[in-house]
Amino acid sequence: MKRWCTSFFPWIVCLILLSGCAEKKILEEIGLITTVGYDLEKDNKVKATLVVLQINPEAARNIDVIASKAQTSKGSRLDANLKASKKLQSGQLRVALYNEEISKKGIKPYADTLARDPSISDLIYIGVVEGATEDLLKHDYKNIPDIGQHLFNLIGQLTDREQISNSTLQEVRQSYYSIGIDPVLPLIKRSGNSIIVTGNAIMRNDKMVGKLSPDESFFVKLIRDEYRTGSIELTFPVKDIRGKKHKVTTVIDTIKSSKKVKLVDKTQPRFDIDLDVKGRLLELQGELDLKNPKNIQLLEKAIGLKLKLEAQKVIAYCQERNSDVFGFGETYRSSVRFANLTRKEWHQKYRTMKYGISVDFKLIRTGITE
Amino acid sequence: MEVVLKIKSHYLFNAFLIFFVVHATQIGVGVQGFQRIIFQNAHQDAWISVIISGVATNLLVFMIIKTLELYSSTDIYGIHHDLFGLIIGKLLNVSYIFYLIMSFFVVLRNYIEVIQAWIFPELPLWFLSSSMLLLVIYGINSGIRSIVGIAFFSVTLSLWLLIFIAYPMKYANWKQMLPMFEADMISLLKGAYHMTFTVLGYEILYTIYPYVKEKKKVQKFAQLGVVFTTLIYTSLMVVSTVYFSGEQLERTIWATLSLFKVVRLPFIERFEYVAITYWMLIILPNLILYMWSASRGIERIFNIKSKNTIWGISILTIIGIQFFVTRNQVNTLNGVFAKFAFFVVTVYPVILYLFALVKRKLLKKGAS
Repeated sequence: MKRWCTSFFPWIVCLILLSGCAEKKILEEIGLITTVGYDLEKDNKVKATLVVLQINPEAARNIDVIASKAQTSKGSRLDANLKASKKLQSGQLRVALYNEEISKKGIKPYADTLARDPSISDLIYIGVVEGATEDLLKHDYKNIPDIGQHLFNLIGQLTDREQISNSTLQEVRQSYYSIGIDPVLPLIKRSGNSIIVTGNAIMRNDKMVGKLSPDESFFVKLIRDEYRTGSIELTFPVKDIRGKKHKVTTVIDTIKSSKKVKLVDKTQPRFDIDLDVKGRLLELQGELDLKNPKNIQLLEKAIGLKLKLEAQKVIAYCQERNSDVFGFGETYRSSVRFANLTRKEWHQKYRTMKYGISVDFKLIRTGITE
Repeated sequence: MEVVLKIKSHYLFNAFLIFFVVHATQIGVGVQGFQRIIFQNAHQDAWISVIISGVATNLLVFMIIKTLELYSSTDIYGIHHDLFGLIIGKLLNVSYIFYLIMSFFVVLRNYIEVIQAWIFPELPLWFLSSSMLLLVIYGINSGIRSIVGIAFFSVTLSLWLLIFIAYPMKYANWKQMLPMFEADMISLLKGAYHMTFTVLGYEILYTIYPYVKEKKKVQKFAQLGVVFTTLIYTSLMVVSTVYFSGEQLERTIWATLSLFKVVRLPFIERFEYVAITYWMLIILPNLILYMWSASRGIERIFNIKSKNTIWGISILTIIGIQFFVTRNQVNTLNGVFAKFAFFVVTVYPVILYLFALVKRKLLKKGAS
């Protein structure tokens, strides 16, 4: 008996002490923040708009949108708590949005506070909003019952289909903290009663410096990353086997790509970019006879050329904006020993960087008809 | 005090369990966030520093066991007594016990820091420490064989956590490992020096050695345990280097735990909470073995029953922990402890081995 007491006594004490000591978080008593949007106001204060999901069977809508103003992003959450009937918790945060003014000033302080908070996941999406985020989040959409869920699904779906680059908090922070690669963020806009992704915002370190359309963004991912199942629409001229010129528009999907970026010149940075792209022809508008395999070869060449020209345009634009979203600096840093590269140095070099690009395009198949 | 210990056979345990004892004591709180300190010194070559420290640990373990093998069955307290006599021996023993209690304290405080920073910021120190301490007391009271069993289960039951290191690899940027071998020897060694806090734990051999049944096999299994630890540390270092970008890693306090932040399972979205709470199982053998070694020492030197000392140390710990409330204080504590520990676990074993060797030689000469 005595032995039993001495060995189990601590356990029993533990059990009694441990139960119910920590702060309780009962689902019905908390408001789950699913989306936050930050706008920079004229007085330099930050306006936060929170989409709060509440579990309340009696309410007609279980979404509440609260806007509040403060000096900091977390301060505005405190302020928002004053307006909420339930305790606000950020553990279910899925999307964080910033308007263009904040993005131009730099998202680092805001993204870092998100990462500082252990209750926030590293896999939340980060995006830039054209216009005010408050307007985007507060608007009463006809077909969207839950704006937070909608935004999360929208970005998630586009990321999975590889139409936009990954923009989770982890990846964005990884990019702006590394030397030689700049982040890309999805650009989101409200247009009437719907929300659309209008392309990508390109950054220099953590500051937004330009915009790319979805078609242009394709080339960023092509060089920065790799495609496993991408798709794109291209319009270009092609000469068929008889020498007749056609203007065709094609849609290519299930694009698989691999890239090789090599540094050829260290002193005056020069890169060789080799892109190997494979895809399926989904649609072809134009008079081109695909029964002839030689025409397909010509088409492949024309697509390769078109991709190359477009890629050059996008690189030129990003160079002009001085945003290395392609990660050339990573290649430079990893192939030059004792470079001691700094972000500033790289961005100076990047402006005048030279490159040669070659694209090898292959059509895997043309669908089930010819 | 007797130098050679005669342990009753029902207290002895099999030599292969030494593998788990050494490994379990090495892996503890250091592993949660060693990456950034090593990275600050050796940058992308930090993994080399980790391997260097691993090899050094192998050598030290070799020396520790060689020292112990000079006596048939004894612990560090007996060796001190034999080598340095009554007074200096006692002094050294007391300082070694002080080291053990300090490691115990540091492990406990750091784990509580993690719990407070990640999960329950509002829970008071006394509460967390006393509930952990009750568990530790319970563990020690059940005897050495149970303690070794706890170490065994702590290792085997937490192996599955390693699988989840594959998740962050999805976001790996392997270019961050390049260019390799850029760091010079000094920064690599500096990195290895800062590994001390993470690799220590093998000094437990000094106190647990007499309890091993087949003493000849200790060397083999202890070395294997150290190699396994180094393997885990190296892979964690590589994964962290490719997952975080340089400055990001330098800002991440608990990189290993942050790695778990991208694990998302269908039935649990935030895996790091599971990992952190599960870490208790990894910490437990650390705490138990350190406390056990300290109480053993006190029993050997002062003849005080270890049951009483355990409670004494526990109460002192709860009082002492109140002086380390802020992150800064914990950091200072870790810094001081790391320096002290570096001396105890890397410099001192060499000195002790040399002393023991010389004494053995002199004795032989005197005999012949």
